[in-house]
Amino acid sequence: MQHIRERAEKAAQGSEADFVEIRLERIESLELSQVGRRGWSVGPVVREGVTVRALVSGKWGYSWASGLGGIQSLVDRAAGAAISTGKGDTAFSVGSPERNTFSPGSLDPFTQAPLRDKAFLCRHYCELLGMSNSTASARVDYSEVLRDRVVVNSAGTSVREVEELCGLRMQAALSGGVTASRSLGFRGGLEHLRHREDIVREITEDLNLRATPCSPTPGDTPAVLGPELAGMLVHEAFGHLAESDVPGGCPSLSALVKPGRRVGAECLTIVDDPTHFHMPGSCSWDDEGTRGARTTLISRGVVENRLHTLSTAAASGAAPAGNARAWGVGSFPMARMRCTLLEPGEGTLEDLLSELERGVYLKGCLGGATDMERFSLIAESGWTVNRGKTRMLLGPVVITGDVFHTLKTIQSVGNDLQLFGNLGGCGRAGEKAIPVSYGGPHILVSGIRIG
Amino acid sequence: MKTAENAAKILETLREISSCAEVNWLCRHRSSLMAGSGSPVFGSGSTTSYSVRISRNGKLGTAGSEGDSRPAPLAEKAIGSSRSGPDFNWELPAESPSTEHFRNDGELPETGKVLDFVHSLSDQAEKAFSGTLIVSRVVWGTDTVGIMNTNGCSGEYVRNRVRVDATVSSATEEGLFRQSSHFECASLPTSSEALSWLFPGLQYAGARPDSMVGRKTVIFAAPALGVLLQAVRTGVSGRVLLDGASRLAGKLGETVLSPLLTVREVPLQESGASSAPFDSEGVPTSNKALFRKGVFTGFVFDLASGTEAGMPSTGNAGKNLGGHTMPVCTNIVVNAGADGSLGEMISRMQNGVLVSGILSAEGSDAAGGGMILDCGTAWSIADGAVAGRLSNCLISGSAYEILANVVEVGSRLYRTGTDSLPPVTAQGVRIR
Repeated sequence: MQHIRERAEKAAQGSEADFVEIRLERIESLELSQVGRRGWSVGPVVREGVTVRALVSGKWGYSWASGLGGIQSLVDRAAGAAISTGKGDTAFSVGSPERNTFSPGSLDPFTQAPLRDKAFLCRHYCELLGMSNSTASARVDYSEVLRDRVVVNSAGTSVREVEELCGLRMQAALSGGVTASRSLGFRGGLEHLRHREDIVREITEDLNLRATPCSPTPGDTPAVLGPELAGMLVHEAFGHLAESDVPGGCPSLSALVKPGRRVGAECLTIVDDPTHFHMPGSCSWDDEGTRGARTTLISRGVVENRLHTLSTAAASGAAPAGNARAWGVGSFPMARMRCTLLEPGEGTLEDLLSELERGVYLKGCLGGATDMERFSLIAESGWTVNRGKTRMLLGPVVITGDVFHTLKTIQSVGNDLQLFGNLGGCGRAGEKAIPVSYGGPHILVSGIRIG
Repeated sequence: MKTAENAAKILETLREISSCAEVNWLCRHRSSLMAGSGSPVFGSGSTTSYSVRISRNGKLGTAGSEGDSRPAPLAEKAIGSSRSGPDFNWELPAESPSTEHFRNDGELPETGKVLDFVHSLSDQAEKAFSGTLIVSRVVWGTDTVGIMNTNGCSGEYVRNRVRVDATVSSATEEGLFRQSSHFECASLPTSSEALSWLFPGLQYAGARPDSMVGRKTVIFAAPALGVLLQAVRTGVSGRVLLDGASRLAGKLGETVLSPLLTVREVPLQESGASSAPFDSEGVPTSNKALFRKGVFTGFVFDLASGTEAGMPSTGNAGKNLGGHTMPVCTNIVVNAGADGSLGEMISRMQNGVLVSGILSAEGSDAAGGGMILDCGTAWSIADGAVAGRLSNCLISGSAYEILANVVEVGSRLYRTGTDSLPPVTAQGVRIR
């Protein structure tokens, strides 16, 4: 990669385009699945390629190819693509050049473990999950990604970062269809995934508890949300809106997240922080070569910043903080989240439950989505709460709501911050899913719609 | 041609370590145009990838690479994979599949034509609902797909693909209307056709807020029907059947869906984005009914699941780069009915709901059909007209039950994803 990096630096410097950026990527991946006694894999797979962007007379053009050769012709093609659609008015400004390499090692690198070790890990957890008398089926999925990328540009930036990502998903189901699952995703090696029998125990206990869950009564109710739900809520309900290229020129959408607008109570502070280096989404530099820095999106209930690429930062006069992300050959950098979290407050879970008095306590998250105005999340399970005590068990619960109404109903924030990694990634219309993290502490909301 | 030559070299190397090996290749040439509020961005590129499968000591090994065609690293990875792979106990095909009758129609557009298309799409969206902004991305090009194995089977074909992704944002008096959608086919449609496929309810964006709960009659526009059919796609898989998770187990020959529904798997569709004359294992594909007038007619198999079930492969093997195969469907087509256009179906409805887009379907039990759908774009209908917009419309129940209760099928097919579907009306749908 180092030799090709030097060639890319020369090609970027030699171009007559107003600006050229070259991204070299090599991604090695492996997925293993174990369902009962049946196991299968996707890979090992190696993908490598070059993606080039060129800015000419205010317009971007881009080109890509698999393999790490032909860089000069890709630069020429990208410049040609920019010229082919006439002149433009794209705002763009690039900061001081960065030159560095970041390749953190892990304690137990998966690159040095044979495939059969990882297959054994899947079988081991799957057998443990299946040993419970009540379990009808068990499944374990393992995934690993080693991404080595170089970003160089004509302004003199040349950075290289190696990301080692791995994750596990364990799931068990009762014969009636009730399931319990946990997902783990980390930046690092197998040290995060070995000896996780505690997760198996959690799933088994959860499954036994949930053998006969009740359905919740639909309607608006006060609720305490667990850390994973709180994290997913800020990701879906505000994080996507903060991605500055999402509004697509829609003034009413931009106005919703204008800095200075109050959107929540004093207890609400949301940040996007790429320096949690054990989590997916963390980075030293983004895919435009901008140094990754913590960005406060909402401070004490007031919108403070948004997430930017170099172009959107230049257009709005903001400082970029390393949110331009692209994954895989041929993808164009977009403003995306990295590790988005709700800052912790001071209360314990017990404090929040006693403050709740009557409502529901929901935890675990099976997924979420947003159309920017509304969001939808699925809590894995929960309990009714009466006089601060948890009572009746609930099955999966859909919670929906208006983004800004819901943010305003966050009344109290707990002190027990937890982060969750997701290798499956965060998707956006037409874009590839990218690894992200999210998190928060327990939170108390005065009213949320459950379905 | 160079790709096939590289594949042959890879196969030669695999022969040295395995008497039973297979190489697939995929060469993608793509152009891309992104258009929204700023200047459009044009790009183009190509990628070439190789997937291998080997049998070694009776075990299956797999590996894949994109951008690196060196045989030795691929072979080495496949050997490593076989050490913990499942049993390999099926025969690879020996006969080369015919591509003679394969047609993937239409011509790929020039960049200027795509630029005109996105501008026109924007105008059409503005006409459908004043003030609508659209961000779109069109990706178009060819796939060259090939296979060869140690039993002598080889084949290659080329297909066109055009994918359109778009998001509309409309500021209305009642708040923001926003929806994302996409479709894929073999050629670029007209912009008005594309808009009707992507956003069938855009003209109603300004409807006043409304709410509705209980058992209702619901019109599912094509994008919403496409989500319901995910349960069918999963349920017809022979692998899911063998895993004991298919709702369709033991239902062969039984009426499972409404007699108004004929659901077909059409890999030889001339305009299909997923069309193919043979599958990932080199087995010839064929068009087939999955449900004929509601009656379930058969599962789909690849070689592995077919062998395990004592059935032949149906030519439905699909796989990701470097992966094991799974039985999959390609282009799903639901036959058009006789109940007119979407507008006519709305005009006949006294009281009910129109769902034109699904925001999320997480938590669904895809194989069993159980699901909770958050309908991102849904409208109440009263006296034959759209009366209001439902902002928190959740549908719960079984996709199979909803599809069994279909009472009307529209006369026109719309593209959604790679499928061609009509709007349908179902009775007794539970809205929460």
